[in-house]
Amino acid sequence: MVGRSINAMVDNCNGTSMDALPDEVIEFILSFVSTYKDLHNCMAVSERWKRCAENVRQVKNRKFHKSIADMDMNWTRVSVAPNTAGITRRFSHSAVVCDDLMYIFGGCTSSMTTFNDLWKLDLNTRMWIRPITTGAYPSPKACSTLVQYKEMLILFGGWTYPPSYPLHQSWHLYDELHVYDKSKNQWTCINTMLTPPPMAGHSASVVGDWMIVFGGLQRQQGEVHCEKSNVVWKLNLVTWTWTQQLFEGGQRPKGRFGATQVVLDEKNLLILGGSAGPNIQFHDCWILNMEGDAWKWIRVSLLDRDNEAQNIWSNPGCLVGDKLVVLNKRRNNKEAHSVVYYPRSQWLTALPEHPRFSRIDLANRPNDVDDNVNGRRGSLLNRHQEKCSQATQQRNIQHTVELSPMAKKRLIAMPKSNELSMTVCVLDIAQVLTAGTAKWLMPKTLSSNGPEETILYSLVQGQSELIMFGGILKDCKTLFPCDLSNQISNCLQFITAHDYVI
Amino acid sequence: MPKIKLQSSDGETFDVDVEIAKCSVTIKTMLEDLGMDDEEEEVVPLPNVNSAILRKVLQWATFHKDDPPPPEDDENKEKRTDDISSWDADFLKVDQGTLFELILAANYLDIKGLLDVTCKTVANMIKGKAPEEIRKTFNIKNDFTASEEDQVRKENEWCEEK
Repeated sequence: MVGRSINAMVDNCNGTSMDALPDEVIEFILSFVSTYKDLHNCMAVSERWKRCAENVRQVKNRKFHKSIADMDMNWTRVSVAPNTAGITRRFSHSAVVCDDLMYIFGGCTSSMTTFNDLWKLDLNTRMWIRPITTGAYPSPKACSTLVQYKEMLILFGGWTYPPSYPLHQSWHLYDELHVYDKSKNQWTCINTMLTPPPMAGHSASVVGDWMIVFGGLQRQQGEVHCEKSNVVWKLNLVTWTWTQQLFEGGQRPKGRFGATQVVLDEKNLLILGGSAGPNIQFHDCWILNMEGDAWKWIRVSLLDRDNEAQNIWSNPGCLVGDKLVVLNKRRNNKEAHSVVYYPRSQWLTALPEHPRFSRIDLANRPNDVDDNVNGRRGSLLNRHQEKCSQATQQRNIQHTVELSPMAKKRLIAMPKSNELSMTVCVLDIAQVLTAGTAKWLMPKTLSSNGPEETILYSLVQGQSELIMFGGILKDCKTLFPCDLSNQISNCLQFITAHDYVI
Repeated sequence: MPKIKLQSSDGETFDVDVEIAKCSVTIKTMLEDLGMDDEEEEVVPLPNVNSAILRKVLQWATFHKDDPPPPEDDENKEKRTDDISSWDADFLKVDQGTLFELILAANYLDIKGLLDVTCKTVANMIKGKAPEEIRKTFNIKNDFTASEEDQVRKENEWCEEK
């Protein structure tokens, strides 16, 4: 064989370069790099790389939107390794994604205190960063809103538990307004002449140069009790002035907290769900039309409500294209034979329905090892845990967080009647502005590797993925069970399309 | 164990266990489609792979011959590039030319495991690099015109997806 092949491959061994690879192979390589900074950098390399990288991004994006419409998502859990510097467990924190960073502010601890720390998750590397911020710190609080405006993050409202003495104080609500400058890494406290009442659990969005704030638990001046509000406040982000918005027409949503609020366009917001206290959960949906001096509430008629998410107040929604995604526990659907995964070692033969035993797998979680929780002195063990031998405790601590591939193989599937794992619910709002309707899509009973039921986590959209963080693992009906320490999460869940292969 | 002969583009013949050769879907299909009898000691010509690369590919395939087939939910995993085994990492400590030829060979011979691990290795070389560094690393010519480059820079300022 003397003649050189027409194929570039046969050319001298060291001469083969990246250019010799066909487009599909380059795209395959690029499908492995992070869709954040790395893929952007690849686009700036050459004409060919730009084309390939754009293809990869488009395919990933299309896949993501399609898998949301199909409700067939892939969940990837990333845990903070024990005893390493990582974000502490929390719930009711605030989260926002800016470029390739997810910012987390505050939230609640297991010992019912609140944080005022700011964390960044580098979405390229999935590493947590704790920037040492300067300036006028916000108070430690939870249920605040954190939104992006230009190079700033705007933090408003929130609540904290009262100090333990004197006894019987009610929750403390905040009307604090802080701005975090991302480039200077600095907090600034903004004082305004007119300020809305202190509030928490409200919702906020930035539209143009305004921050629009709806609802929340509010306390009027001089009042002792909190009220669920349906008032809309707007903050001018150039002049830093607050205005209470006027409305025309009597139709408006009931006062609530924990609603999901998303921007439809420059003139319209959408509000979904929320709660007004124990056993008062909302599933209604409204358009907030912001045209003219007096704004309007327009009620959206919801179609296929059989498919709706059961809980849309402690499970926040997130807008992806024209679909509003809410994570919920699997529906109590007879033909949906939900499967819950338990490590074999923890699969007791006791009746899972028994409340004490059904909590065993959660109670065996490692103790909360937060060390920067103020005033924590060890962690309380519940009655069952006290019975556990030291050895069991040890083993379970090693059991922590991410399971090895071997351990994963040992997991066994066990059909369970009370569905614990989370799944995706999708409200299609493509027709919401034209027809005033929104449609809950039929849940698919496809295999789901969602986490166990969690509430009060944050859910935000990254590039072709949803990012869920923290929250309370909810294994019983009460919102605040006696022992929380083991049930608060610092896990990330990345919810993506199933990856494509060329 | 039955053997077949594989002939590289530069004419060298390799005696290979059929089972090892069959990790290449291309060869496997060829053997099945053509009904090549294992007994007959036929020579399979591989005009797109030279002897140096074929030797490497066979080395890889021999080491991985007992690997379990990839699990069915393989595609459901987040794409990771930090799961390259130490043997593979050592095996792929080669110059770029060889690495790209291995990719081309894996692509041509349709050996998924080898394609994955080689492409992941290249992806790891891209990670964390600025465009200019990527160009330098792979000797890629910047063929953008000045105005296009401006445009690219603008487009790549963090934009929302969609």
